[in-house]
Amino acid sequence: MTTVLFVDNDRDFLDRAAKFMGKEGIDAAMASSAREALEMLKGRQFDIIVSGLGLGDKNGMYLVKSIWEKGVDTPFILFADKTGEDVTIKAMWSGAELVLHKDEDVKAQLRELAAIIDEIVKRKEAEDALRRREKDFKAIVNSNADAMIVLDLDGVIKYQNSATSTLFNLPESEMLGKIMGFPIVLDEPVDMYVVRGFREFVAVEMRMVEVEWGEHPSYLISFRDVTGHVRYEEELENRVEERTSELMKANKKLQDEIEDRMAIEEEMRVEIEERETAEEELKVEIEEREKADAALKEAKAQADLYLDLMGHDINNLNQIGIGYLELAMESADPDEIKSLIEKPLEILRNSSDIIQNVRKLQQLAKEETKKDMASSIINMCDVVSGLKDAYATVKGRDVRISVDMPKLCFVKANGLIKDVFLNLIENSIKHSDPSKPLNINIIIKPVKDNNKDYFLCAIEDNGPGIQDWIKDKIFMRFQRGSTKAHGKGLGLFLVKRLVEDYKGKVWMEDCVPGDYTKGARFVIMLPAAIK
Amino acid sequence: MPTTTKKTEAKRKPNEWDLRLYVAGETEKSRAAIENLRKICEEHLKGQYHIEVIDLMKNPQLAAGEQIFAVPTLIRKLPEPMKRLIGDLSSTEKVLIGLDIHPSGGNAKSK
Repeated sequence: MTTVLFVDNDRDFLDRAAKFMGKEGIDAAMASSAREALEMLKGRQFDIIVSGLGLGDKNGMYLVKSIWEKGVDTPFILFADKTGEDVTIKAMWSGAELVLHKDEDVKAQLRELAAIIDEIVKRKEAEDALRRREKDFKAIVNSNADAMIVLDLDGVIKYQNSATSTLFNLPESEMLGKIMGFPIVLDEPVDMYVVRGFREFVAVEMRMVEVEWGEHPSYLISFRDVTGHVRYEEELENRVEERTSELMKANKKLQDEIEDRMAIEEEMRVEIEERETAEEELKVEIEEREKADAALKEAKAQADLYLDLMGHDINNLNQIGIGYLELAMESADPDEIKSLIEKPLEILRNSSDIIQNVRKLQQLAKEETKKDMASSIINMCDVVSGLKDAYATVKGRDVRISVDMPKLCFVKANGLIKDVFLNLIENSIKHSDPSKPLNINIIIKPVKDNNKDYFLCAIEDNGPGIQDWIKDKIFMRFQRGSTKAHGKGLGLFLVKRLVEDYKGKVWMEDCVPGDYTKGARFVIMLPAAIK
Repeated sequence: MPTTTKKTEAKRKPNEWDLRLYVAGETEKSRAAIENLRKICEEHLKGQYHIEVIDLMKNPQLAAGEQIFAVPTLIRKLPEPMKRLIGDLSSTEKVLIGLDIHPSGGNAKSK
């Protein structure tokens, strides 16, 4: 509640004022003289003092002056019945807030007074609030470790806290009232340097807010010493630079090392490649040597074979022949002599056959090293037909050769194919009983085996046949490496060699299965060729 | 630091703007401030301005004479009255306001 002290020697006025103010919610105290008022002011505070001019002992001027001299800043309204310019001036000079003229219409004047009182009280409250705010503000600013300065719109320093003097190394007196400058700060703090003591430079961050200072728009700026921070950043930058430099050197070294290694690896790779090539060449050389060794062994084995044949079989035959001739020399009977000469003649023929076959084998061996044996397409039927004609008459023997074959039966072979059939026919003739007729049937027909075309040629006779235990050995009587070679088996060995060279097969069977005595059948199967 | 040659008062043209920029060393920020100031002057005070850049690290004794409390500080010596700006001088808008430069023209007379 607002409290007002009315001072007047007009009791009536005081009563009316008290009543009126009471209705307005204003607590009005009354004093009828200046002395009384001063006494009351000793023990109590009022929001407003309203005083008349004439107060009996002393007047209102005296009262206002006394109040001000005592340091009481309560607003003072002079409500005088006598006013003039000089009264007003004097009263204002003495400390009165306002001078009002008392007139007839007391009620109206009291109403006006009440309104003025209300206004003054509100203004005072606002001023007090402002003063409190400023006090709080100063307390906060003063206690801040950052330098804080209030600048007006022209950049003049209006206020500074104690930290400012420390940062700038200047006493307050050398800064307050001086122009620092109109501050420009956007969203982020501004990096600046404070010129400390006008000599050295301190890195700071400047911040700014707009404030009201002394009811004027102003700027509160702060300076935060970030020297440590800046130094730290600089040191960090230096360290980063150093480290980067070290890393770059290390990286360079590493790169050089990598390049060297890559070069070495490349050299090694080339070396390995060269070695692999050399190894490959060596392998080929070894293979060729092995082949050459094998060929050499084979050649040696063949040479041994031939030597054996020559030295043993032919020699034996010759000895037999010589025996018969010696007997013939001793005989005087021409018929006996003729009979005795026929034997060595046959023996010589056999020897000749052996030698011929050996030569053919030798030729075969030579040709095998050079090229594919089945190098020509030959009509096998022509060859057989030719042989049939050649063996139409065999001296001293009844040999009948029958042929059952198509007109054309082309196979891949060479000129020695004739020896295949020749040896088989000769074999039949040699191993048959000369006193009995010999029938040789040659049958040729096309067959299929695993979807491939072949010609099957069977040469069967009615000779003594070949026992079972020897059937699989007859083609192998000249197995390489064996020194038990027999001249008589050479022909069949030649047949097998030739047929196999022609990529065919040869085997023998009984004419009547299970009864070898009914004759032997030699079967040859050769791949058909297209002419 | 690219400083312009200081002209004497006598040689200065009438109505010419005399601007002094106080900096501390050659940094990115001081270069930005100088460059921005040149741009502003070229755009709005073409042919009517003079800029002097003073590096207080090289001439610290000048700080006390001119009462330079912090850098960068930009002083408009002429036209009068003198004006000072401190802070982020790379902001064109604020510098124009602070120096009281009217955008493109109308800056011939002093205020």
